Order: sequence, then structure tokens, then C-alpha cells
Amino acid sequence: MRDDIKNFNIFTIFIVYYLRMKKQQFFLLIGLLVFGVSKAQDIKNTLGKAFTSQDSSDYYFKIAKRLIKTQADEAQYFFCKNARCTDYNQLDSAIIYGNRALKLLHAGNDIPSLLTVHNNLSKVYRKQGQYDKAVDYCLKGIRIAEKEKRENWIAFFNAMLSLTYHDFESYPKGIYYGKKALKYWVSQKEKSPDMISNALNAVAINFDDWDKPDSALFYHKQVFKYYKGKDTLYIGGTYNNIGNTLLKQRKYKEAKRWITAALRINDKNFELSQGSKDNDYYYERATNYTNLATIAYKLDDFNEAEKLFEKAYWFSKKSNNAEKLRDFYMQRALFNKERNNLSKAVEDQEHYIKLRDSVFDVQRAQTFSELEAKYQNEKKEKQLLQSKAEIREREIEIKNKNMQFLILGLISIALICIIYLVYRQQKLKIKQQEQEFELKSAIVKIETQNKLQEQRLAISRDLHDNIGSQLTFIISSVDNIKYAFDLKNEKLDAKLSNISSFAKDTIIELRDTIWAMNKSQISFEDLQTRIHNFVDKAKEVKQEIQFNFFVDSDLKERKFSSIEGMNIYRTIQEAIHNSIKYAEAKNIDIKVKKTGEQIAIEIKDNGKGFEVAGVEKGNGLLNMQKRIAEINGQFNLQSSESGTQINIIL
Amino acid sequence: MFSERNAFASKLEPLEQLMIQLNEDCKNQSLQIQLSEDLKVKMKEVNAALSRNIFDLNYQLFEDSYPKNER
Repeated sequence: MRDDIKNFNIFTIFIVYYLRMKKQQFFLLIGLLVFGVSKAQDIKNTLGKAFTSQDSSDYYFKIAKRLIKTQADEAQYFFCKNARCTDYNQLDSAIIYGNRALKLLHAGNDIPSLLTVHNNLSKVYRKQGQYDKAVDYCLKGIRIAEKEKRENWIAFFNAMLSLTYHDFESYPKGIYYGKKALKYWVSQKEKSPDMISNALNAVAINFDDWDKPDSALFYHKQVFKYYKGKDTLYIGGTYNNIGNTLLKQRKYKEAKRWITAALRINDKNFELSQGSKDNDYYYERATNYTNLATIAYKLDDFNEAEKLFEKAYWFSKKSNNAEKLRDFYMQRALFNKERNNLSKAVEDQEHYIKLRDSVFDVQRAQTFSELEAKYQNEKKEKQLLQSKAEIREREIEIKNKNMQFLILGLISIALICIIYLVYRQQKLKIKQQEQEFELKSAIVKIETQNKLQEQRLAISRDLHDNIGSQLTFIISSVDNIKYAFDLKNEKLDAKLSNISSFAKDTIIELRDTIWAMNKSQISFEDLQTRIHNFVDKAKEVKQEIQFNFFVDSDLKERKFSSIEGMNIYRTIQEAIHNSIKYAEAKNIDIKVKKTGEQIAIEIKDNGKGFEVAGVEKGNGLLNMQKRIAEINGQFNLQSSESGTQINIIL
Repeated sequence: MFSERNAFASKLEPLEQLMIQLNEDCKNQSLQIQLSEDLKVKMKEVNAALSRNIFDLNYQLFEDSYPKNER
């Protein structure tokens, strides 16, 4: 006979405190939890008293009933009635009040009370041996706890399922649920010895009745890890259960010691509880005495066994627990059989079978499995839905992450673009600064060069002026000598004239050059004027010369550089000079025309000409060719008896 | 960026114009110097020719005056 550890008197989620604390404190806590902390109203106080009172419970319940004003008050009233009846083995009443409380609590939002009623109803049905209903309420409780995410309640209902499956002799399932509960409680940071011992006990008794005593003892003895010294008062059930396992191993004396210790613990607890004969009081003693009676007859002490069986019968009856009665009848039948008291043995056997049949009928077994299948299906569906939701969430998460990556990518690209633009901007700025610097440097360089050239030109001008004045002085000196001394010497006179005319020619040349230097550009019109001046002077010597200068109107504004202009001027001047001086020409024509993109200058005279091949080219001709070549022009000379023609192509 | 480029271009434009102008001036000065150099060469020739002529004249004068002094 095992004691399934106090049948779990759960009035609230915090059963722990019942086991740990003094009863007065416990009831105070219960009062606070059940009825609310902030506003202590009359009905709640009264219900508190009704629940805790040993003798005046009914009186207080009647007062509380009169104080009911709201649906919540009514729910609390039935909730307390259910709890009280459960604890005091008024099983049918507990069922009625429990169902009424459930209806009202479902309407409200008091989850701990709702879960507690489920637990109480499960416990009551289990006592009655209606395991299908007990399992049903456990599973309903688990559903609510799962919905509300109350893990401790789930673990608690798992332990309850383990005990119920044990009573139904479905030990593997009992072990399965017991281990689930144990796993949860052991994994908690703040370990609750009561909850752990409860789960350990559930696993152990399943192993025990499954004929696996070693495993049973292993789990039973683990309880002592959590309870030392005085605390062992809380685990009287474990002592009994260890004794029970040893009994099955035929270690009767050892078993007796453990069970006697359990009985002493129970008596001490009864004393400490100031004689409260609640459900546990009868249940524990029914267990202890049945076991002790069994040990006694196994040890052939039949008289002692007889006495103990009588006590066991009385407590079993009072416990209202089908399992206890069933175990009792079975053991007493065996005892009577051993004593050859067959009629009594048969009677007890019949009781046992009757109870057993009531508990294990086929329909119930079917309902039992259907209930569980339904729960498992629901659970699987829920898991399926949950996994679908998780997949959906993951997909959304992945989508969000992709989006984040995309945004991050775009931002990075934008950032790179900005950095590139800034870099380019800086580069451009530096390049611009370099360009500006180079330009300014070049300007400074050219300015310096210009200044130098300017200085050189200034020196040149001074020099030219000086030369010009010196030449003028030479000319005037020579002319004065000639005039003052009236020279008879022809040779001397010729030499002086030669010097004078040479100096005059040089001055003209000097002036021409200075003229060209003072002009940045020279047009044909300028040339024409200049050549006219030259011809006019020539005419002073030979008045019969006819001179024509024709320039295309398109070319009059054509500009040349000073060098080009000077070279063209000197060439034409040389040609005219040659025509006047050597060819004795009377008519000189100069034509400047445009031929396509080129300029053609023609200088033609009607002089006596000369043989081009026969005459060695003098400085004059060579100079003309050289000057035209310098300005990238073509020089062509033709001469015959009827005159000379020079063609220049520019 | 374009506005900065335009600003820079407009900033550089007067400098470029100045540069072109200075280049033109430089080119003209170079031509003038070249003319001056040509003239210098010419003047050297003229100097040589004039020296020769003056020498001839002096020689002639000495030649004419020598018999007179002998007498």
C-alpha cells in the first residue's frame, strides 16, 4: 500500500506553503490569495473563516451565503465549498460545488481558482475510482494552464495524471507523466522540495507496482536529497512507500521499521495540526495499517494482523478512497486465505473484484483512452498550428532581414556614391587649384619674359636712335665738307658722295625697320603707302618711271606680322630698286591678287632684262629668295629682253 | 558640382585672356627683337662698309695731301 503523498491538497497554486508553513500562516496566505489582497470585504473574510474553521465551518458558510452580492462572490463561495468538501472527503458535495464553481469561474477571469477547482475535481474523481473523469479534469486543467502559460500548473497536473494512471494500473504512462513533472520541477532555479518529492513519489510508486522495486527505491530515496532533519516530517508518505517496496521484496522487518516510522510521523503531524482529521488523516493511516497488517501476517503474527486489519478497514472506509479499499480487500483476502478462513477470504475477494470492476470496466477504459487521444490530438493540432505560426514568423523575419539587408545595401551604395562624389570633388578642386597655379605661374613667367624683351627692345630703340643721329651727323658732315671746301678732286668728291648716299640709304633702311618694329601688324595698305614713298624718292632721280601698284580690295585689310610685312616690303623694294637701277625700266607694275587661298604678288618691269642662267645671283637676288623662303613663300623670277617678272606666292 | 565648375571656368577666363594677351605681346616683342637682330646684322655690315669708305676717303686725302707737303 502506498501513500501518494497527501493527495495534494491544492486549494491554491501555492500548495507548497501548506507543506512548509505552519497552518495558521497557511490559512492567512490562502485568505489573501483567494479573496484578494487589496480590499478585504466581509464575504471574503467570512469565507476565510469558513474554510479554516474546524467546527464552525457550516455556520460561516451560511453567513457567507447571505453576503453574496455579485457573481464573483458566488463563484468564490462555491469555490470554497468545493475546496472544503474535497479536503474533508465529502466527495459528492465536492463534485456538485465544484461544477457550480466552474460555471461561474469560467465567466470570470480568476485563473488560479479555476485551475484549483479542476484539480480538486480530478482528485475527487480519482478517490472515487472514476479515473476517466479524473483524467478528463486533469487534461482540461492542462489546456487552461497551457493557454495561460502557467508552467507550474502544467507540471502539477502532470504529476496528478501520473498518480491517476498509477491507480488505473497504467504504469508506463504514469511514469511518463511523473517524469515530465519531475523534469520541470528539477529544472527550476528555485527548487521546491515538495513539488520534487511529489513527482519523485509519483514515478516511484508506478515503478513499484510495475514490479520494478529497484527503480522504485532509487526514486524514493532521492527524496532525502531535499529533506533533512525536521523536514522529514513532511515526507511520511515516502517512509511508507519505501516500506511498501521492501515488503514486496519480502524484507518484512526492514519494511516494518520504515512503515512504523511513517505512522509515527503521521501521528506527530496530527498532533501538530491540533487534531485536524482531514482527508489525509484517514488516507495515510489506511495505507500504514494495511501495510503493517500485511507484514504481521507475513511474519505469521495472525492476531496482530487481525487487529491491524480492523484498524486498516476503519481508516480505509473513512478515507472514501476506492483504491485504498481495493488494496485493503485484496490484502485481507490473502490474509484470510492464509488462515484458511475461506468464507471470509471469498467475501473479501468479492469486495475486491466488485471495486476493481467498478474502477476498471471496459467502457471506462475506452473513455479513458478516448480522452487522452482527444487531448493528444488537440495538443498535436496546437503544436501544428504553433509550428505553422512559427514558420510564418520565421518567413516574416527572413523577409524583414532581407529588407534590412536591401536597405543596408542601398544605404551602403548611397554612402559609397557620396564618398566617391566627395572624393571626386576634392580631386577636381585640387586639379583646379593646380591648373590655376600653373596658369598663374605661366603668366608670371611670360610677364617676366615680356619685361626682359621690353628692356631689350628699349635698349635696341636707344641704339637705333643713336645710330640714326650718328648717320645724320655723318651725312651733314660730309655735305658740309663738300659745300665748304668746294672740292676739285673728283675722286674725293665721289667718295664723299658715296659715303653720304650710303649713310642716307642706311637711315632709310633704319627708319623702315623702326617703322616695322613699331607696328605689331602690317597690312597691304601700309605696304602700299610705304612703297609709294620709296617710289616717290626714286622718281626724284628718274622722273620718267611709271609706277603702278594694284592691290585686290579683298586683300587690303589682310594683316601680316611685322617680320612677314618687312620681308615682303624689302623684297618688293629690292625688285623695284633692281628695275630702276639695272634694268632701266620705265614702267613698273606691282599687282597683289588673291588666287584661291593663296596671295600672288607680281612685280613686272619693261626693262632690258637679263639672262637668269648667265648672271650670277648677287646679294640682292639671293636676299629676295631668302626673305620669301623665311615666310614660307615661293619665289619665281623670269627675265627676258622685254623685261623682268618676279612672282611671289604666299 | 556643375556650378562649381562654371565658377572655376569663369574665374580662369580672365586669366586665360590675360595669358593670351601676354602671349600675343610676347610674340610681337619676339618679332620686334628679331627685326632688331636683323637690323643689328645689317648695321654691322653698314658699319663695315662705312668704315671702308671712310678709310678709302682718308687714304685718298693722304694721297692727295702728301705731294703738297713734299713741295
